[in-house]
Amino acid sequence: MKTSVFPRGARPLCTLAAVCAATAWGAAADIAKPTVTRTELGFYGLPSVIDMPTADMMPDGEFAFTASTFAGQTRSTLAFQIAPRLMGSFRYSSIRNWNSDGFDTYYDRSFDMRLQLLTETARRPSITIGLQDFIGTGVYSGEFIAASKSFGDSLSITGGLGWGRLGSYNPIGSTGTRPVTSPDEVGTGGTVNSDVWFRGDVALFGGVVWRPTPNWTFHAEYSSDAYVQESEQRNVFDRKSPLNFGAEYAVTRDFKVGGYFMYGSEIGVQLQVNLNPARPPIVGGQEPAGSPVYQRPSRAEAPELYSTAWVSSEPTRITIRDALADALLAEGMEMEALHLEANEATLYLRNKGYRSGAQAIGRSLRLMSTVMPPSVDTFTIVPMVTGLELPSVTYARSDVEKNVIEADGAEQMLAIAAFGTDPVAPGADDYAPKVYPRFTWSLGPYVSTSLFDPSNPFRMDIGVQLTGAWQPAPGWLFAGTVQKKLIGNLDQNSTPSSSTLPHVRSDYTLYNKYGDPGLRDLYGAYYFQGSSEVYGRLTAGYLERMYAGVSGEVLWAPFDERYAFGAELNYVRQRDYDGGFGLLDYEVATGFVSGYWQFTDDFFARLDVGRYLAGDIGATLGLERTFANGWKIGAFATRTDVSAEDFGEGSFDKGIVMEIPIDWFLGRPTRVTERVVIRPLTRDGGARVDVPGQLYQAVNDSRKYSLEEQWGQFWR
Amino acid sequence: MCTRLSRALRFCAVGLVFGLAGCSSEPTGQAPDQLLAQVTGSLFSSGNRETSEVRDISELNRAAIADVAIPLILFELPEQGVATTLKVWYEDGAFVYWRSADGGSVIVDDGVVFATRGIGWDLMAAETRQTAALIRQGRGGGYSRSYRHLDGLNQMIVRDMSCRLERAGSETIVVLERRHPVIRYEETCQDETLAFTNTYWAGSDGFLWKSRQWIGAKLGSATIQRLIR
Repeated sequence: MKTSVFPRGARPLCTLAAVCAATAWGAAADIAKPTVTRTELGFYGLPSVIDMPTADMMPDGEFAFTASTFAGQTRSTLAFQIAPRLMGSFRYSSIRNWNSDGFDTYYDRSFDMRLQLLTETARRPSITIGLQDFIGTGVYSGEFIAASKSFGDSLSITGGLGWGRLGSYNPIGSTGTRPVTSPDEVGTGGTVNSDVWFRGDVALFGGVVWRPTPNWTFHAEYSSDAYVQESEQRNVFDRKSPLNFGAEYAVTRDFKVGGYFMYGSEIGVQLQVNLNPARPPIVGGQEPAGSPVYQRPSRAEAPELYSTAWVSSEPTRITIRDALADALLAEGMEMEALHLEANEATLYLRNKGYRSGAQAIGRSLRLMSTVMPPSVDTFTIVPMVTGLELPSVTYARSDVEKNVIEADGAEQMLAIAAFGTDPVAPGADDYAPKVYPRFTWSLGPYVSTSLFDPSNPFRMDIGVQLTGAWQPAPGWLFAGTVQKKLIGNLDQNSTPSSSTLPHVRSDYTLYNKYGDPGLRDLYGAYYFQGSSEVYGRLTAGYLERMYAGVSGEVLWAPFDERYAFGAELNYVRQRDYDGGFGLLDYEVATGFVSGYWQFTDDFFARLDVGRYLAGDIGATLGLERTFANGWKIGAFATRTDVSAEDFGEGSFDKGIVMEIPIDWFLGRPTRVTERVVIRPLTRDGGARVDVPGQLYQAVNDSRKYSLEEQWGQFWR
Repeated sequence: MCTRLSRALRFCAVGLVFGLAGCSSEPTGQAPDQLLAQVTGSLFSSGNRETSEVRDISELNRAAIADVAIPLILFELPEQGVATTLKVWYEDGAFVYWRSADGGSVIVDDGVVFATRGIGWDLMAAETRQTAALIRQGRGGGYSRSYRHLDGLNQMIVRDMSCRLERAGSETIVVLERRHPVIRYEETCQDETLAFTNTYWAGSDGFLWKSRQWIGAKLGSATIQRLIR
């Protein structure tokens, strides 16, 4: 019997329409997991025979990056298995010799979604419905229903019906009239093309995949894509045949190469790299073992050990404090303060080392057991972030001694944990030396990229940045960062912004051009709290590369709940392009009320409603798939009162976010996370100021559901 | 202070140019820049931990440890190519925490493995008491035994194994050139998806001179030999 210990949370009732829809999809996709999963991806970067889709799903949580090219058409796709039966993808493609619409090489961004309606059984095939390029300019727009059936492990056959692009060759009929997206009206994109879905000509496609060995697969298909524009109208290539053939070789489980003969005239190649958060490249837990728990002799055996005389000895107290501080530091944690009494000790802990808050608590308890005099019966740990006291946890020392050597010790420690949300602030004498005031600095590399500019889709700067931070007292932080580019070409984009809105973001080319070397930020912040569920922040200074001003934030994050609410108010002025202290004339009040909701263990939603940098009013909805080890991938979209026309290309602000836990690559713990935001376009509508040190990220890890999710590492 | 800082900066500059590594005054060594080089390293390494200890182990013989006066075990994971000697770190009654020089640890209850740490894919905890008690009493029996591991998402997975311990007979074993008359115990465990056998070689007083115990699906079984009692 194999079971997960800490049960998956119940799915709460849905109240928010968009989240509901996503939940419903998620739920539908959860009912029965696919019986077969495959990572045989085709030219669109999703499960395919070659150019035609199959009904396959990838393993849950799988990421796949593919780059494929034939006949001057290159498609780079990031595909993600959002839920067991739901997948999505973002694609960036280029078509050479397009020779119209003002483009020589035409660049295109597109999004796809697929949902598996039926899983495969011994008798029936799996059936999947898919939308291709459903939100972009529509160049690749198409829909399909596909059925795939395996015959043993080595053979599978797919057949399907396609519309749009996938219904353009040899149609067998039609379902209504598909509104024309003619080549001359490659639109501004960004709108959901729902009026064309499953309309117009419909054609049959099909294919077969043969897997004679674990590493080799062979593919043959009949394509229902006539490549009307590329082949008939623009002479990008000559489509001589509907048949495609290919062979793929898996170099490793996660790296594949393929070669193809396409449409009777062209050679194609493809590379594929896969990754799954549940399958780390390096096994975790390689950090040195945590300390044993010192088992005290009983009071009856050694009553003299239980003397409390030490309490009145200042040197002894200092010895205890310093010994614990050193031991914590050796395990990547820091003591902010220690409050000692004859029978209890409270450790104010900065967990710099462990992604799992539970692991930090477990390790700290063990170290406390080795340092604290036997009379100390009760251990309390208060996690600290920028002077904020996060929810505390208290244990009887005897429970620590008992449960460290119980098979179910981690579960027991969760069951008996006494959490508190009204921690007492440390006394003035309790602070560890050299904690306040403290100056820290770091010098390291930075990388800055610019994607999807038509004249050069990938630009990058590499440079060095020097950061300094001064913490004079609990809650106070003064910090700044300067950057100097070493090499790069971001400044070569000289396309001026043609935005009709205030240029709140679209002048980034000017910042890239004139902003080196530059002061990235320089600010002071004060953090305060009402309890360990209500926090506040005030920040003033040069907040980010483009804005300076003041920012205030409050957050209510109830310990026991999976939701939180916050509000942020900023008054900012645009900074000069040169990265110095100068300011431009544009100023604006911007602010939001925000709701955060981890509505299942796997999905997180965030809604921000308010006023954006250009003075536009609207809302941003973000949805993320979250993983217990810190991986996150999601998408966001912002609609404001700026019209699609005024917004310009893309119609509204949207993008993809990824959070990558660095410990996943190391096999040893660290809290460092790389956050990547990919926007197809940077425009001025729906833009927000990027204030450093926002509260939700800082405090969320110490809430109960976050702790529980990683509680299995308590005694790690 | 000033000289120290400038020397540190010079060192950083060299690191930046050659390795894209940074440096920081952060005492916990957890600044993002400091981790970058390690990440790059891990992506290009072959994956698992180094097993340089193995070379030393092949030269291990009784003469080499003749002047060691403390308890010592040899811990091997044959499927991983891991072999290392461990010293006692802490004793708590029947529970002994053994530790290797590189921070790995094995915790045993009367010789029965309770947990491992610092190897990767570690055994987080296993029930030990019934196995240990039966061996102490020199008899067999049936019982259930739970094993806890972490999966790739670091979430705890519990396996409840149904086990049976049997006294399999008397024999003489050799542990690093020393002969020990022992009783062999075989413990067979299974659940719906997995079965394994643990073997314990115990002296007449129940002391485990040698054992072969399942650690986990990823690590396989470990062989533990007591070199010095």
